[in-house]
Amino acid sequence: MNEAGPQEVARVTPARAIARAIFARRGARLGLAWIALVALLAVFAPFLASSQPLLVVGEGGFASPVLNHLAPEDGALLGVFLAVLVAWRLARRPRVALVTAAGLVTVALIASHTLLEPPRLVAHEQPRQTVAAGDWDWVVWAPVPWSPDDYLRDYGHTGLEAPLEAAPTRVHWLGTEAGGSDLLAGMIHATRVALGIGLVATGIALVIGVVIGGVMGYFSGIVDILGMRVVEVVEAIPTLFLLLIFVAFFGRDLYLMMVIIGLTSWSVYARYVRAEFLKLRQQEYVQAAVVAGLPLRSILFRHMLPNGMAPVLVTASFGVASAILAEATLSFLGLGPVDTPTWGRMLDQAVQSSTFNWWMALFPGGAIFCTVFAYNLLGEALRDAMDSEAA
Amino acid sequence: MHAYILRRLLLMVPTLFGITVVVFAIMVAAPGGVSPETLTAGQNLDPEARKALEAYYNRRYGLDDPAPVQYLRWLNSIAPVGFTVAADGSLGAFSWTKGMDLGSSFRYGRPVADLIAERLPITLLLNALSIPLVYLVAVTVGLQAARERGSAFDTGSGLALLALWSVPTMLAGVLFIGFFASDQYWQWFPTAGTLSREGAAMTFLPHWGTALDALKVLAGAGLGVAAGLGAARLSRPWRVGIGAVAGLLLGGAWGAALPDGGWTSLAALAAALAALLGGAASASVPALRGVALGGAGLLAGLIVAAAVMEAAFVRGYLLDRAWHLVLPVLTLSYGGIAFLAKLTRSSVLENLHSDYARTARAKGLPESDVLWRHVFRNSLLPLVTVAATLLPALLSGSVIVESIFSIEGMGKLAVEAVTGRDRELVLSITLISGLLTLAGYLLADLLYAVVDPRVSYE
Amino acid sequence: MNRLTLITVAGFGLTALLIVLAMVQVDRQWQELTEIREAVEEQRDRIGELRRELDRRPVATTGEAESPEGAVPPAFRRAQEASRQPGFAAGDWRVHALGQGLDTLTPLVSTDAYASEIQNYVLESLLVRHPETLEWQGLLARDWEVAEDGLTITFELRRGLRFSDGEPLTAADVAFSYDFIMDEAIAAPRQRAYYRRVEAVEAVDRHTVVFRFAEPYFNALSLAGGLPVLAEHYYGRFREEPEAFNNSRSRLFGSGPYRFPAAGEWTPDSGRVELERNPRYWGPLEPPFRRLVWEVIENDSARLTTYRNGDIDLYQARPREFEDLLEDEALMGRSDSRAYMSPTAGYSYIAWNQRQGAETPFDDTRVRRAMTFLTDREALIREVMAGHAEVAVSPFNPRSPQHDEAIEPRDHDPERARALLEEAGWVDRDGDGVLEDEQGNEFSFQLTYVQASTDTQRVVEYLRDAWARAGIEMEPRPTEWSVMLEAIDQGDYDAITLGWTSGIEVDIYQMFHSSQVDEGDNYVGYRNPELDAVIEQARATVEEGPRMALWHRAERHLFEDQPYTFLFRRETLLLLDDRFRNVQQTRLGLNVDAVPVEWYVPAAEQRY
Repeated sequence: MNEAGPQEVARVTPARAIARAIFARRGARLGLAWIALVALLAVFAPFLASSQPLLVVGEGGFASPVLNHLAPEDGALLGVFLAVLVAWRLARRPRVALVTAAGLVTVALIASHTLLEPPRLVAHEQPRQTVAAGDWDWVVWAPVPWSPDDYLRDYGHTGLEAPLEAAPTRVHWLGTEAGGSDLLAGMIHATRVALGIGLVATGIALVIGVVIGGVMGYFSGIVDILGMRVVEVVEAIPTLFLLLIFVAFFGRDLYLMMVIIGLTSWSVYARYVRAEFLKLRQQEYVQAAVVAGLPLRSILFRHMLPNGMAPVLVTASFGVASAILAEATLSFLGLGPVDTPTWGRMLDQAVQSSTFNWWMALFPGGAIFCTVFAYNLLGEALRDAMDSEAA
Repeated sequence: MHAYILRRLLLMVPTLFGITVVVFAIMVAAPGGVSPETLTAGQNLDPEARKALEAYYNRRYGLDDPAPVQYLRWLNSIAPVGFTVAADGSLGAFSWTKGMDLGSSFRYGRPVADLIAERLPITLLLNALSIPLVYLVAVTVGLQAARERGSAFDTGSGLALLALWSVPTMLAGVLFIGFFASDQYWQWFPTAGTLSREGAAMTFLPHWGTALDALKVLAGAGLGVAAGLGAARLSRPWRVGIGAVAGLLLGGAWGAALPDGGWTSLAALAAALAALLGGAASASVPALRGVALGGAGLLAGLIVAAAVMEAAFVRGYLLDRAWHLVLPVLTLSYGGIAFLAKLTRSSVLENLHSDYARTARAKGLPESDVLWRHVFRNSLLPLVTVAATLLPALLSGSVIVESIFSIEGMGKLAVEAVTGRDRELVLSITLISGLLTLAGYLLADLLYAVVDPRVSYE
Repeated sequence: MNRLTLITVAGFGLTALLIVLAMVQVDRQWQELTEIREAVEEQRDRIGELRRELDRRPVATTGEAESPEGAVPPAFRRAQEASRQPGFAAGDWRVHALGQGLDTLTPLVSTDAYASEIQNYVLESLLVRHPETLEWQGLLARDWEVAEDGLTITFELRRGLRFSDGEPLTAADVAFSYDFIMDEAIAAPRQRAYYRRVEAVEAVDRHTVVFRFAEPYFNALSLAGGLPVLAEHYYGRFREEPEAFNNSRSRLFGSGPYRFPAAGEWTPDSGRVELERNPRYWGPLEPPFRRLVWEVIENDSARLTTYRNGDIDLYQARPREFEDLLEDEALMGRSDSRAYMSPTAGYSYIAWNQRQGAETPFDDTRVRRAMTFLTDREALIREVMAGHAEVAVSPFNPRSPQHDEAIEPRDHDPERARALLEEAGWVDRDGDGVLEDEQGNEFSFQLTYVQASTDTQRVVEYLRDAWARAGIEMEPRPTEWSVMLEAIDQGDYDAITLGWTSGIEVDIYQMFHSSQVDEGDNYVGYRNPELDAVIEQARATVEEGPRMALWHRAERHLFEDQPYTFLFRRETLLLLDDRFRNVQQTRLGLNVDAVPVEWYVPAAEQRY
């Protein structure tokens, strides 16, 4: 307890107090539970929904086809998951936790990209045909034995089917999409897109907004005036319209979309941080830090920012929700990412076909709703916790 | 004050410039950009004719000039004072009375100003109908939740509103159409457009076949409302009972209207409505009771009257229009209701616990006076500020709603312009939405100054 | 309540009352106007009938003896038979739906098939084909004569021809139509390219017009007979203002059985097109329907819902959808369903980029043939088209004499494909499942397609899986229509899947002749000098027998070389309201768009 002096303890306590306050609220617990479920689905998607069996026992002994088909992203995500778990266990020693987590993630990234080489061209019906031919003695399938782009070619022509319509031959718990692929598998794999867009876009917006807002709030004067004009310009353009223009002119790449959503939503964070910093720069400890000659970076981000983060975090939670909604809207308007399954694109299919296929509207729409609701609940709880802490 | 307004107006100008520069830069930087090739691509031309047309576009719009020059050209054409431009693109003399020229849409071949003039009114109509609805419902619910803080209504409505806010607009629209506008479920509303084909040929007002029919409808409605309001005055067990029975009947009728509904759906609907009406009837606020039971009575009366009508009923242009707009307006407003209701609630709560309210109570004023004469007006302040952000949100919401309901408005025009890479149209729409947004902000600030005498912009 | 409130409330009440009274007054005026309009329309219809009666009777006059037409001209016989059926009644509307908005309705400038469908009712040409015998019949022309050398065709026009405003139609209008098309300032490049073979069109006298050709052309009669006749007194002024014409949206005016009342005012975003009966029609029969309406409904599900509501009368379904709808009893109770292969059905294909400079594996014939062997077209038709299509083997329709019966589509044969690819140097050298050539380049390419169609999407997905099994990696590239046109122009693609429309006799010059690589529609860059020679010879052969033999030879070249992989021809799947009568299948397809109009609705079932 010698190097972790009073300063260290003081820094840890308000955050932990807030965390405790959040967990006390039922809404927040529900929201966090759903988000955790979605995250788990995203991480383990290739094992949960795949046309490749998990384990087979055949003439050559054991084999795991699903492992052969793992892609580098899957490996990287598993590594991140491990890193988060480890960091949580080591939460009491933040520095150690951070280092270990970062190390794990790097190792996972390198390992995935070098070791994992999935076959380029996949025929999804092959495992089923192998089973039918009797080449394997014992097969363990994934819980949802379909990949999201498995169009069931070996079953002849399939199309939109209601849940469990084709029951004994093929079990589709949530029905199938227009091309014949299983909806549950598509939704599980789409959790990656949803979470990815939410977190990455909001992360980008947060970083940009905090930096710009911090600089504006700290320096004020001419920097502030110019900065406010820029913020106003970004705010005045209707976000959806700007998104549409970007996507229509630049193409429909997923990562590009994340960056664009981030670029169009940073203004609200900038405003909050600016307001906080304007207040804080008058505080004595800040002025002491300036007098002591600490570098600017340190003053802004180590001393002022932690105290001003509260409203930003609340807004970030709502921000993730609106990023997910923005992607769903784009997919719905037909401008979503091309090859990957997303919830918005599935919702669009519900409208496009001439009959109202309720399962295409209910399940993906419900997933979007629950995720957005979860983030909103979290944001609400954060806000209440902050208010009660402050009051 | 005037100086402030003037300053704000002047400050709007660089912001508008900034917006157009950003949008223009995006379009130019895109792969493919806006070159004459994209403009001639859709047309069916042989090579010499295509080259001639490309040369013509280059001259007319200056498309082979570098980007900044193109931007300046566009600025020049939209500015009311500037250089006149001849038909082939060369600059003429400076003129003070040039007038604004928003350019011509590549895709439609018509002046942009005409297109916008045609499409803007319907979007404005949608939003103009949504805003009062949103405010009315939101303020009522928020006020009630604040007054009964901690009660079942408060927590229940808070959760329901948050859930409503989380429903994406397109899901709501799709569900509305799927359930209320398709022949597989209830077909009470039309699927698309703002006017049915016969509507244009109908008279303005609705009319019934015979005068007797009109009287029947009036009588049905009147009796129904009177019965409902009367029931609201009874004691609690009677109220709840009557409410539940009315709910059962109405729900049963609703379920029976399903084309291929079974007994389960009928029972489910009947039970749901019974619970809803019974719950509303048991509320302590007389206004809520009255509205719920009176509304149920009105519905029942109209249904009975419709059943005994003899001749046909012609909807008339006005009602036809309104009927087409119900679902789109609902889809557009529900998000705003949720947001504003929560805001109202927190604002009213803050004021109810403030010092001046406490003083008023200490002076002996009854709670309702404290609420209506002092707290209410002060609580409206944040709502006014938020009204500014509501308008841009509604405009972007219109994009989705107009796409789903096939309404030819500005939102749909924006999507078409963007996907068609129609440069003039995109720039003009950006300009107009930017202008509306900034004007909204300015208006909100001014209203704020008007409503709150403490605020001054000197 | 203080006085101020009272006054305000009273003021509001008064204003509201005044507004209601004003609305009531406007309503009454409206009703008057509607009644007047209906009366006028009835009068107009009566006058039209009277006029027709008069025309039919022999007129004993001095001066120009206009010999009566007497019997009904052959082109109107089928419509006359329809009018003699029991239960025939004139009246009612017919409402169609359009799947996408129209760009313009002005003839020559418009480029899409929908616009020409509409223009077909307003504009007329000299000849039309008999739907069953496919022989030419005179519509505007009473008689015609082809010279011995095939270089001159002389048409004699009927008497009494009139445009819809009453002005007479003469040979001068025919000559004007030709000159108008050939005017370089008018944006009609496709028609100009077709009519370039006509050297001149001359109006010898009021009723005689001569077409002169530079060289013999097999389609000469079709070309001359199919020229849409534009009115000189209406379109003439546009020769001075070609800009105005090229940019116009609604300049549709002609002599046909229907006219376009909103000409000059209609705009594409009004969402519908209405044609009304031409009260001054010169023909012996007036068309049954009072009005023809086309509604633009872009959303697929909205279109079906509108059909279910009975607000449109025809619905064209996609294959799967069609099967599902056939099982909908309520719907089938009031609809008639038709599934047929139109003799003029177009075909879909995959175009392989063979241009020099494009680095694709497709300039090798063996590779292209292998791709065709790898494409199981039967399975595609079963899966995506639900069986409502047939395999296409060439641009020629199997039902037309252009097709050589001996040529049959290649079967799906992955083994032969592998052998061909190996021969061309493509083998999986490093065991990663993808074929490589000697230099180590992988067989990986992009297939560009228009993203709007779900059926095309499914075809592409199917192809990707099928080719993946053979070790070929295909990356789908969905694009917007305009972006795709640009890609075609600039040769910026590996392979494209598209379709061409077809006709009774297809001239494949624009698509496959090597001269058309840069200027015409041969955008894949296919060059085959032997095929060029055959095509040129066929185009110059006027006699049908030898010409068909030449087309057969051309077909064999295409079959061997596979510049496209021809996919399939789709059936037309229609649902129509069952109140229509005399719906017949002809050799030209369903008689839905036949002009003179052959459908009608009995009086009891008329809806509008």
